[in-house]
Amino acid sequence: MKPERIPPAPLVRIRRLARTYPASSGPVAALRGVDLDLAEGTRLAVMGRSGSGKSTLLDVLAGLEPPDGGEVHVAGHDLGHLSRRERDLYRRRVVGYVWQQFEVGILPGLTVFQNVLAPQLAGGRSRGDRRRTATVLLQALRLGGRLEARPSELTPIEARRLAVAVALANGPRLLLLDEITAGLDRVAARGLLDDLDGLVGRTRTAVVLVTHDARLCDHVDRVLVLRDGMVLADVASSAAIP
Amino acid sequence: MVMDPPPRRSGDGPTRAGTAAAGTAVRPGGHVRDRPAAGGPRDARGASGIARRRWRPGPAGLSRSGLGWGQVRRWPGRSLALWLCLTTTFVLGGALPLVATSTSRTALAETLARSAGLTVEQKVAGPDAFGAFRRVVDGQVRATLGDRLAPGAAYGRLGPLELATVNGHPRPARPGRPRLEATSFAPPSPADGASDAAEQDAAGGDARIAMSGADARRLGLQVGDDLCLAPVAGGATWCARLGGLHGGRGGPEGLTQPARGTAGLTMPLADLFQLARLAPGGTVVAGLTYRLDPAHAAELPPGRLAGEIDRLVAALEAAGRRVPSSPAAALARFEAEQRATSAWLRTLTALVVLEGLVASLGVANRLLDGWRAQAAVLRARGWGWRQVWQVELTTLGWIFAGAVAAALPLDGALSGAAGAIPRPRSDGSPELVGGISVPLVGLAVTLVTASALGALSAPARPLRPRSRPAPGERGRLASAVLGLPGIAVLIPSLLRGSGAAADPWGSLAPVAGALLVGIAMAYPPARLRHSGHDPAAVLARGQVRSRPLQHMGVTLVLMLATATIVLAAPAAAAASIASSRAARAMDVEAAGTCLGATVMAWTGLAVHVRRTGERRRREYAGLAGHGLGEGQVRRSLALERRWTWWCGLGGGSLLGLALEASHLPGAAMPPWSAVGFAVAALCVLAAGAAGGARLADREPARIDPLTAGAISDEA
Repeated sequence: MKPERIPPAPLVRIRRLARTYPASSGPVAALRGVDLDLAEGTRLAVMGRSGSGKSTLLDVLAGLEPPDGGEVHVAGHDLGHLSRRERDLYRRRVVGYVWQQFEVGILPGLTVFQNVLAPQLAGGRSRGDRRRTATVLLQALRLGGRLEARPSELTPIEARRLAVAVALANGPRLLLLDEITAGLDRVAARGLLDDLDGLVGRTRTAVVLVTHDARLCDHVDRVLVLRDGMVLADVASSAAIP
Repeated sequence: MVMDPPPRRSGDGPTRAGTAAAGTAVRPGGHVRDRPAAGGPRDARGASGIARRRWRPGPAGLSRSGLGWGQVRRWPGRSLALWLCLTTTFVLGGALPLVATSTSRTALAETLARSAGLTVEQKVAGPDAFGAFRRVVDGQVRATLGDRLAPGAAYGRLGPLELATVNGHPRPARPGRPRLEATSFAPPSPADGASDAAEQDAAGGDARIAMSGADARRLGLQVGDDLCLAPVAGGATWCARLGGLHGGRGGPEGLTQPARGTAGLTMPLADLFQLARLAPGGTVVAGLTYRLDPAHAAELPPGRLAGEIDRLVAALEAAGRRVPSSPAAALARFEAEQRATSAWLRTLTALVVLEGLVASLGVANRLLDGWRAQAAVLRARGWGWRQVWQVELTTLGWIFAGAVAAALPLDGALSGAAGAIPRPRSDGSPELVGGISVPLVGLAVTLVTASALGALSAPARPLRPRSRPAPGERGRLASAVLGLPGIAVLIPSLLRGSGAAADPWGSLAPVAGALLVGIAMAYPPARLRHSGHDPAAVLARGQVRSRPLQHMGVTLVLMLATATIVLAAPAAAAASIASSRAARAMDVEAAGTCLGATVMAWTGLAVHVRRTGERRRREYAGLAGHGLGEGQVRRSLALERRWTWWCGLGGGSLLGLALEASHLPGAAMPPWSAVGFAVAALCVLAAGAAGGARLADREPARIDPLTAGAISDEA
């Protein structure tokens, strides 16, 4: 009998994820029973109205918020049962995050080059490795000429590129981008995503992109639509492109 | 989706950037910004300048220790404030115990020099008995006290005598005419005394005596007069020639000063015993004197030494000897005075070290606040709390090391100037290191603990603007508040000298200070309580009620500084009129402590004022749209500050007066001068605080709703 081929485990496996926040008027459910599978190298766009739970989903995947219910497994880590140290290691080795207010992830006192070095200081990588990684990332994101610039000297698009480079500094297997193209015109947004594709395509990094712009769906493989904390649709990008 | 490498655009950097990042000399990116335009002014620098630029190393890297040093450079004002607080604490904390030890040593030497020696007397019948008495007592003294009592003079006394004839003419007794007492001083050792007597006998009895010029004038005698003496009790006369006059009464060192109305004359020991044999049952009173040797006597605490001497005196008296004078009483008196001075100095040290500790903790927290936002981002990117802590430790460590490096020579110089370190010996160094180690260890432990708690509670997500203190900040504050009582008890016990008793006031003072601060915080002034609907007062009242801890640290600093000034003022005021070197050193140090306490209070206040100013403007920025004006923000801030200052100054004055009343080291100044000095010093403190606040909070009270709650690069 021909042995049955077992498909590889997905990088991200979410089952019945729930997340609730306390409020004076009673608990507010940000996520209610979300299911999701995401393989390595997959690019997923998460869409939905404001307050639909997109950023909360990213926070849970980033290990910043613990799930209240359900299961979340990312690269073999059960995010509901991580110790403090394991959570630190998870954030360092598995995920990279560009927050919605991308400036908050950039250290204002450091140069562009040092900003990409800073997240790597927690790991045990050599000095040469760290510098090489930073240089490659910044070159690929068109910041090779701004290595010694301060973040305050960067243009908005350059600052976004820097935020992406910082998020990729530790070679994450899952990259989370929260409305990274908000406020950019279409050409600039596409340029940024093109450069990003070039970087993550080689490493098979999975990308979760929160966006309100359906025209950017040609940069992703799937689209997940959330409404009131629940999955409304999970479709291939071709079906979602207007 | 196809992932092609991104197209290279002009201006993004040449292709050799990757090589450069690997550590070669070419700058990555080769940015055109650094290349001077041809024909421009930079051409004048020549080819060498261009060559240097070509070999410029790659972009500056980063390490965790470098990140720590970066915080120091990024916040120079806060770093300088912390360095100033630490240095002042180390200098004062090191110098005060040193001066206390030195003062005690100098005062002991002065006491030993001034105090009467030990005198032992016994009646003896002849030179042999005299020698035996001397040997026995010497042995007893040496056995009990060793080298601490050095042998002085040995003498014999005989009297009263009267003048029978002068140059062969009878001298009838007349009322008011002084009687005579003969004294003989023996050579240093008993063997010498015996040979001296033998020589006198061999000389053929041409006896000569001497007396003071004043006594000779009173008796109408001149050098060369032949005198015949007879015991008052009756007996044969003994004749001798007045061979010389001397200046003082009572022989060398005034050891055997004759009684009032009696004239003294000195003669060889053999003549004295010959004269004694003429009197019926006449005996000579033999005496021995001993002086405390400062070099050896200081080895024992004065109280214990006094006890040893008392034991010796009791043994001598039990053996039938008389002890007319003893240094034990003076030593016991010195011990009591020294205990009071020592307790006062310990309390002063505890106050100033504690003030330094609270001020340093507050300023260090302020310095680390700048790093806290970055730490939160790095925690979110996977940094562990230990790595965040390491950066904080590096930041604090640089400043700490700088403060120690500055404090050690400063301490040595100040202590040397105050006479605390003996010159030219350098044996003050161990004491200096010992003195400075207490505040050094206390501050290091507190800062390390506080930074560890801060790092542990650092949030692992980028900080968003918030008006309330973050958990990390609260953690540090809680650690400081919880740690104070323990440190308050610890410091005085560490500063306790080996010979001094415990001083409960030194331990209770900081606790009392913390209680006073708590009471003051619980009862804000009437201006805030009954402010009605004045927006400025409403805002200030809201801050005081909702966050009472935010002013606690600076109020405690101000309170401790005020108490220090009140406690040190009497001694500092007496610095110019101090009689002894020891007292002057202590008074100068007290004045230095007043100055140091003031500087630390100013620094702490300035940092606090700037911090609250920035925070309030950020918090109130959104209220501009509701009509809150700049003037009202300013007035609200002023109300909060005024309340802090009154709490600190009032509570500190009460605490200082209570401590002063309990210690009263017997200052030589009249009270009004001390009060005047204290009031003047407090005025300087208050005026400096007000001026510092104005300088530190020089930002205009501009409130802009567009920047409300924004996290900006505060650098």
